[in-house]
Amino acid sequence: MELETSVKTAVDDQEEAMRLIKKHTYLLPRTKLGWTLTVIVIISFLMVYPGLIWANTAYPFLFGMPFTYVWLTFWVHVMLVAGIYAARKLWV
Amino acid sequence: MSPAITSTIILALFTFIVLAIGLFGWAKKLDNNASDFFVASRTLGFAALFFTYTATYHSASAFLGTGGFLYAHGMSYWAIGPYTQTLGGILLYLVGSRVWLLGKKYDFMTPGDLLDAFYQSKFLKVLTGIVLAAFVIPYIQLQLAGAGWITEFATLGAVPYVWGALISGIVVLIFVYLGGMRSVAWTDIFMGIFMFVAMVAGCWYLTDVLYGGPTQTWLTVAEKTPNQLLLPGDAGYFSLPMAFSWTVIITIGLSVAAPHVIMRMFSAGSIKVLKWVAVLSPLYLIWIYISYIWFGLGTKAVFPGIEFPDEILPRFLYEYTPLVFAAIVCAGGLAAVLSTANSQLHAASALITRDVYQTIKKDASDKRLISVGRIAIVVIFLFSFYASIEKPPLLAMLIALATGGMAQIFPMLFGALFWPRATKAGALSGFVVGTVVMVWFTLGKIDLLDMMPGLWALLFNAVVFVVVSLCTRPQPAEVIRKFHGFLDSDEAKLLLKQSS
Repeated sequence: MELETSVKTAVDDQEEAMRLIKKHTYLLPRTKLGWTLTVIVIISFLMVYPGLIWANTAYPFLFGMPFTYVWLTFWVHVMLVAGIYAARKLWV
Repeated sequence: MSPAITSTIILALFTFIVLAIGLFGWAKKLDNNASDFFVASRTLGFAALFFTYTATYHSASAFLGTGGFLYAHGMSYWAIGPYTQTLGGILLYLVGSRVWLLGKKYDFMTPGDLLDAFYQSKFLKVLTGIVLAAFVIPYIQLQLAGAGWITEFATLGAVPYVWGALISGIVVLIFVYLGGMRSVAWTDIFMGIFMFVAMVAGCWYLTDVLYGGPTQTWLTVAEKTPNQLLLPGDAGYFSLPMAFSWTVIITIGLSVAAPHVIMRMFSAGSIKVLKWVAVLSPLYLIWIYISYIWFGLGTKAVFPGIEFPDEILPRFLYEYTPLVFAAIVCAGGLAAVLSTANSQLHAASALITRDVYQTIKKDASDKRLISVGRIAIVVIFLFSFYASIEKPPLLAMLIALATGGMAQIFPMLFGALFWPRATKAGALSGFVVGTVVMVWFTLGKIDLLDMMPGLWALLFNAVVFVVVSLCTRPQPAEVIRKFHGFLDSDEAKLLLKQSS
């Protein structure tokens, strides 16, 4: 009888755990703004990895700086701005 | 006055100011308990958290190793550093907000506290504590070595390497021993500002004097060493996969999984503070190198064949700028070193005390914990100092290896915060496999698909973690409710709103 009760409790606990897992698992953004900013950050990263395959050139010089430097500096600042915007509008 | 004496006085004055601020932090302590010693009673405001995070991030490797890196590998640096710092900032909030909430609710102080509570495993807590401390100690050793190098160089040999490392180390030891996190944060505010101004000004000045300013530097580099403007650079090391693997590992290892960073998440006074530190810290972390990149690349173009490129910044400062200016900038380098050493010493002590000692000795009082924490600080310092006598290289490569080791905590941390299906068996097996792969690939010099060992270790770790978790019984419902249930609850939302 005791064994039966303990097995039942274990099964109940596992069922409850699975219910909670289903309820609390969300790995993707939950708002439109969250999605937009996530996509911007991912695209910015992709512009370097693997984007550098095509952007790995010193010329043309832009504003007196080599192309690779401008490219890398630009995309990291896109990410930075996305982060600051998320902090202002999205994150608590 | 001889140049050596002038330089020594400037460095001594800087060290004295750091010590005085550290003691001030000790005097400002709120309470004499473990919470104040390890996480400053969770009261760090924006300035303290911002500078203790950023100043700790940039170490001996930033002041000395960056020069060597830029000299050897050119533009690869810019494809890695800024991305790790910006992505790291975003992750700092996404992970840190949950860590902060759980820390506030359940009084967690170290990564082991949190992992033990979710995975219900004292063994895991002790294991992660020991492994993380093992990866942190070489980091402290590198900082002491950096302090020795800078002091010997900047005092023109008047203070030898060993004495420089010892004196700087003892200064850090004194205020970390007495004031814990509070002294660390206070000194980091001063050192963070000082090092930023010193590094930017020093490299800018040299760029102007030696290479005719930024635009002329770019033109010179394009003419004389054009490969340095591209990946993989002259040395040919940083192919795109290699740069990618460095970016991923340093992002995770240094911005999220490092024990001192997790302890800073716990220490934030509010979620608002943590949020703004997360998104604004990349501005500091990236732009501290704005002039270093011109100087590093320009030096390779104009002075090829330098034997020890790690030394280019202090060496050129003393050769081409006024003595007082050179000594002040080198004091900024010392700031980079000490601000990392203090945090790592403090974090390693917390790991040994909370995660190892307290797990074995459950009924230890707060007073006893602080005493053990202080003893741990002294022992770790002595151990690191002894190891630093051998003059280890200050290359950024070593930092990457250490962060690869620390990154192995990330999958299980992610599980505890975001994936309730994670299990104790999954966490343990993933962590062990990841650490073994890391050591095996590193010692065996295994180069798979041109990516660093840390990334492979993390991939193996993550796959084993997920597969084993899915094949084993989930954590008890009560634990999932305590963690993920709480994070989704109105109580957590209220706590966030109250603190924002």
